[in-house]
Amino acid sequence: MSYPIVFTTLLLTGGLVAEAQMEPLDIELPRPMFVGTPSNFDVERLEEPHEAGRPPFLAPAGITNVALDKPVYSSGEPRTGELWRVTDGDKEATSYSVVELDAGHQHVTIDLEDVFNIYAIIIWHYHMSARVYHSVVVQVSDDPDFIFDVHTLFNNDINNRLGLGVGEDYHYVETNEGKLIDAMGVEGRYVRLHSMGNTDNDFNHYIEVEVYGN
Amino acid sequence: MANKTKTAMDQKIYNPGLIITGMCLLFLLAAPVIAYSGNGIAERTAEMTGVISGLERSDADYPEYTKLIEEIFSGRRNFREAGPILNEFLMAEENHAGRRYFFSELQKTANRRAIQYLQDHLSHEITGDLALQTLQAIPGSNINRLLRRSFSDAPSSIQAGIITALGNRRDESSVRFIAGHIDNDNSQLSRAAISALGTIGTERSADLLTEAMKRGNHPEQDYIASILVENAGHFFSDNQQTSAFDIYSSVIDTDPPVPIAAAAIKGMMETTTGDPAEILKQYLASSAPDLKRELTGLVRILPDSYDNGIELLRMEGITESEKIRLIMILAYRGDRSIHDELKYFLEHDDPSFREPAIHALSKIATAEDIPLLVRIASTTSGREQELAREGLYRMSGDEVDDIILDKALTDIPPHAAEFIRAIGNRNIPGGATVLLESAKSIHPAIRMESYRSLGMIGQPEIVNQIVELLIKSPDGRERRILGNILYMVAIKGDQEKVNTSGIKRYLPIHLSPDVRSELISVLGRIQNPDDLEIFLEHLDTDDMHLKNNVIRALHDWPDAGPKKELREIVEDTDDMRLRTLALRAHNQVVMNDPDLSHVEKAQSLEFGFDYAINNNEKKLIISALGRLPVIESLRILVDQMSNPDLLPETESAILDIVQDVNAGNPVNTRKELERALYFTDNEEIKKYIRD
Repeated sequence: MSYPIVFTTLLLTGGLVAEAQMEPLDIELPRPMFVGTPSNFDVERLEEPHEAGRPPFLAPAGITNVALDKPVYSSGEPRTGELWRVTDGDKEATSYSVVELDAGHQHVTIDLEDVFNIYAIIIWHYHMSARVYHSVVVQVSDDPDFIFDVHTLFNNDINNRLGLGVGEDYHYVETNEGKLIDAMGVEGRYVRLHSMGNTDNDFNHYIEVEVYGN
Repeated sequence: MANKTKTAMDQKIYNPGLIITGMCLLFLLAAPVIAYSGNGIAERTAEMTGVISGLERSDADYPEYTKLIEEIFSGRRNFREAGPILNEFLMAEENHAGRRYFFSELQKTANRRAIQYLQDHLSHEITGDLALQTLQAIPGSNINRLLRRSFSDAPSSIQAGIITALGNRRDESSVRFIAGHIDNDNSQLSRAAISALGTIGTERSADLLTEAMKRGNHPEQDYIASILVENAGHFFSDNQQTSAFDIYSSVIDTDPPVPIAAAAIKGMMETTTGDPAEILKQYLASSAPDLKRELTGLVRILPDSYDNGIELLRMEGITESEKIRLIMILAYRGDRSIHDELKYFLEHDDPSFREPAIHALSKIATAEDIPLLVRIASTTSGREQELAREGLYRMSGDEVDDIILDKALTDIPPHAAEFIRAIGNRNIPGGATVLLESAKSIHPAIRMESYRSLGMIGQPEIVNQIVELLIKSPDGRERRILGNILYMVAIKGDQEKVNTSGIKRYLPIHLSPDVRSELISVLGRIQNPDDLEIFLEHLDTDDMHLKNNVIRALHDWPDAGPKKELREIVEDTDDMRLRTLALRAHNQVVMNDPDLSHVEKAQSLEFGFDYAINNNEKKLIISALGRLPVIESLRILVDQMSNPDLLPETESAILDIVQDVNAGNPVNTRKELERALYFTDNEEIKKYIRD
């Protein structure tokens, strides 16, 4: 048997096996707090809502939320709430579950306490009412200072307000579905999420962040 | 003799002068009558027609119309002439607005003629409703009689209205008349009669309704029952409790639908002279499941003095769901008799029973229940744990605090952790002493809860002790947590400048770099301006790890005090991390300084481009320049456009500041923008040059 044929066969078989191990990510959603997704916000580049709900996200079988109960740090002291709530598993839009950070550029960093291959990050800012958060940037790194080996997975800071580069991603309206970011298997230990106020006020909020990986 | 001589009187009577004068007088008196009759009718008719028919127009002259109505019905106009004109107008289907206006005006007139006119219109389909409405608004028993008299000639739709009107007028003299229609084959009339009797609301009308209901075969049986329940409510409001009670019990005896039965039983409970609990028990015991479910809610209206809810829970036929519902209601009433019944539900397999049971326990718990709540809190999670903890936090009583303080140091670890948590949440006086002790526990959970509670109730007086804990903390995670707690406690109180002496006194002693770093980090968050020297001293260290931490601590310093030292580090070091941290901190403190001008800031930032280790760091500087609208910033940004990887960022920053820069320095702005066009085709930049 010729080696090219063997090689090609193995490649295809391996691909099929890999394909077979992908499955829709099972995401438990909190209760929706409003019906429909309004789109009359004065922001540039606003994503169209998924009227029929977000399509399933395929990820390797068996991945879990590796951010659950992991320590969270922030750029400034929370005005209300406690940072551990960002990874406590409670995604409901209640005053009990939300952490509010000061106005302006703020970020939270989740220490996964080990290096993981990350496939999806889901963010729930405050979704009690429809609003859009500004300058949302999501980064993953092995470096706690985010100097080296930094992967920017999402950036809708279209004016480089945060100094992390001009973003090309779209603004989106907060809903109970959260914002799912495809992390494409990137490796990292620290996940940092930036924002800079929202269409309702200048403050920054997090209800929950999930990081799916293995 | 044929010719008789006439007497003087005769001569006077037959005086021709007098006759002629009399005829003239008669003519003068009759002239208006003659003028008014005959040929005047046509003119008056035309005039009235013009006014009346004009009412339907949008520009109708209402005052003139009102005047005309008043003249007609007061007799100043000939009704025989006016009547047909009015009728023709009113009977025309399309004259909606005019018709309504007419009847509303007639209500103001309301004299005999008007009332008669209204009565005549009761029998007409088109005007009957409005006539009825108008009559209804006119007080007087004569109207009631009139309505009754008109009933038989009115169309059936108006008949129902007449009955309703008599009800709304609360005419007691019409009760018998109305009652005669309770059994009317026409259901509309029957219902109108039932409703009207309910509205009249006398004992007599209630008796008649009750009689009809008790016959048991009335097609509107349930409707009668609901009207009677409503009636009884009015009796209750008027302090006629006995009458009300009698009505309620007669209703319940007819086995009405569940909502009516529940309302009747509720009414009985409210109006009884006996024990309402006995009534509730009686019906709880005997009712069908649907009704039982409704009745459990009636526990709420039992008198405050009722505290024997356990008897309700133990009644036969009460399902688990009803029991748990009863438990919640009784717990909210503070009824401790249910306490023992909770045990079964606290251990139930189904969380939908466990949760309300824990909630109920939290409402009625006393010091005796502390161990139970702590056990639940330490062995559950989520909502159940929250509820148990809440029960512990809200419990009142001096002995409760003493028990918690004692058990925090003596109970087994899972329980001790809950007690320690409760110290923080209850803000127990003297709790900090216990927490400082429990924070030294060998059990991580106890330590963590102690730190947390210290953060909640600790005051600046215990800063030293927290530093001691930090120095001895077993690992980085706990050290960082303690650093956070230290910060939270140190900044409490109304201090213009936070007293950091309790932290600084530890710095001269030998500390591990990690501990020193953490203390420095706390000082960096506190930002007492007197502490800058400490940071600058520590920047001289050879320990890179510590140095990095000092620089991190300086990142948010509120002014450019450390700027020079940070810049020196940037320019001198080959360590990329150190250089980057120092550059970021340098730029941040420059931007934070309220006393530096935009020009000075821009000039301070510029050197960073020569030392930034990659484009990401340059983007940070570019973003900062985009907030400094001065020509220096513009020049620097255009310089950076030679790096194509930074083009989107530099363009964005330029567009952020160009308008303000141009306003202050148009000539040089133009020069810089023209220079920029060597690197970009950006349309907006071109537009600025064109404009």
